[in-house]
Amino acid sequence: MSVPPWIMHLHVRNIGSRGFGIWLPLFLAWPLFILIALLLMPFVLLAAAFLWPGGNGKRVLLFCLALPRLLVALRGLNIDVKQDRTRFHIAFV
Amino acid sequence: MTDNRKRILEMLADKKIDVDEAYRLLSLVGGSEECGETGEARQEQRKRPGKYLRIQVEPMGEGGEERSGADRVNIRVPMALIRAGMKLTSLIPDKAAGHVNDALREKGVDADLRKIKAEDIEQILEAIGELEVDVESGKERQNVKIYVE
Repeated sequence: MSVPPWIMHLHVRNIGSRGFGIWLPLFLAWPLFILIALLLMPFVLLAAAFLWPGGNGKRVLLFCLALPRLLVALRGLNIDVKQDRTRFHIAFV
Repeated sequence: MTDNRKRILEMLADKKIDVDEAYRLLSLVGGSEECGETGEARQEQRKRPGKYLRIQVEPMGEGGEERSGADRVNIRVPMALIRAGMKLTSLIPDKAAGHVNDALREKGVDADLRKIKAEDIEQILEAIGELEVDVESGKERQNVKIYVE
């Protein structure tokens, strides 16, 4: 079973300065996301039922099912870009 | 003893090749094995599904060495993320997919997102697993590498 990322590291730096870095503890945020998702679930189901005749209700439900998989798949994403004098780094660990 | 070497020695024992040819073949096989991989191991590695798509852009100096202080890109994308993202394309409403297709066509990409199916995605990802792009181009000599690990 895949594990969601525990920590997000974001670092933006201009050469010559210390820049800005943040370590975000996602392991604290996931329970909050789950709670918010559970609270919003009835509204999402209502929206899906309302949109079902138009064919978009199924899309809403499938999107809600696909979103957690997308978030879990973020683990291991690492982007490091250096342009001119700016360096941008984001990593999901 | 690896399969290749064994096969060469069997052919020599069966007198299908002479000593000189066997020596030449063994040295050819030995060259690739010295790198630490046999042909079979390399194929096995290629067949193993890759976990990450790597994209690296590095500036090169005149002598082919890396140039410090210039723009560079180093991206590692999990294949699971690519898989999940491509499956989301099937959820795009038809009208929005039309706009996206038009925008892609303007950029020279003639693709229809609505026609991508789940089995197509797996085939694409399997093909990406065997992809290795190594480009040296441009006035500023950039080394572009795209590969799966």
